[in-house]
Amino acid sequence: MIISDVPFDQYLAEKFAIAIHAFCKDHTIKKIMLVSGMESVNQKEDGPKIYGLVTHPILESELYDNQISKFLNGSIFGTDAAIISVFRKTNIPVMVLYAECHPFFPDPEASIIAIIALTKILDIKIDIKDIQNKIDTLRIQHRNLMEETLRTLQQEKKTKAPQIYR
Amino acid sequence: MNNYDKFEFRMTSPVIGSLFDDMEQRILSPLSYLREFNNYWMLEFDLPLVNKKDIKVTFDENIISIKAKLKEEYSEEKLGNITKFEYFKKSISLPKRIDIKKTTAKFQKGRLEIKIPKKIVGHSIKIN
Repeated sequence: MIISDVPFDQYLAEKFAIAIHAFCKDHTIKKIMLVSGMESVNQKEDGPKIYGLVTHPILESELYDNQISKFLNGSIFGTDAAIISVFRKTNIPVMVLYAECHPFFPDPEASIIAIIALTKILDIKIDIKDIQNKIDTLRIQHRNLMEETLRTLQQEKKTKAPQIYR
Repeated sequence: MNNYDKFEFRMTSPVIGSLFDDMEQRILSPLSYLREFNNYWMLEFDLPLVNKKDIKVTFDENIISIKAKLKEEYSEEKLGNITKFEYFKKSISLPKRIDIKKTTAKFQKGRLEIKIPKKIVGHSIKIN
């Protein structure tokens, strides 16, 4: 099972993680992949890096085999933290992949890095040339999505915009 | 840059309302954000589909304006109509006490970073 960016109220995160675990048990899912962005203001010139974290030693070798650096320092909160906390007590392992991304602007380059890592780990082929060719257009399209989200949130004054939209 | 310089206060976008575009003038409003560091402000604009030579940055009092021509027309369907955009344009009101003359800019990967040093003002107080 692959989960990516679940933007809802963090107070629901634990219930969500427990529900995901129940679903995995019912459907005999053997591994969870959690793919997300890690905001990074000072990215290196050679592009964003990806970092990995596993809940069970059995997945450690997959990080090393695919040259994914281990996430050694930092804080994880919200849905990701809830999923890690719930699953580490079970026999279903979780691998978390964090691609460095811009904290406030759309960053398709980070998505490409994440997709490449996933293709290596899952041993599948995904053609990323189209994304690479349209990277600038995608950035404008994502900007438009942010605009629409802001417009909606401004009508719902009590709702707080996610960080990237502020 | 030393560690002290890295200390920052994250700012919320000062211009959420102006993210919306001017369809008649074919102008897109770029995303931007302003961060405060110890000695300077860092203002960043997201300018995809833009070449460095086509960006114009101007200061007027404490308002910074940018205009950038897209290297190719960008089309999208808005409100049932196809709209074509040719420019990014935005003006942002900056904090006071900034050193415009020492301001520098860098354009990389479609992102414009403008570093605006703060003006150090103040006077010493004699201790008796």
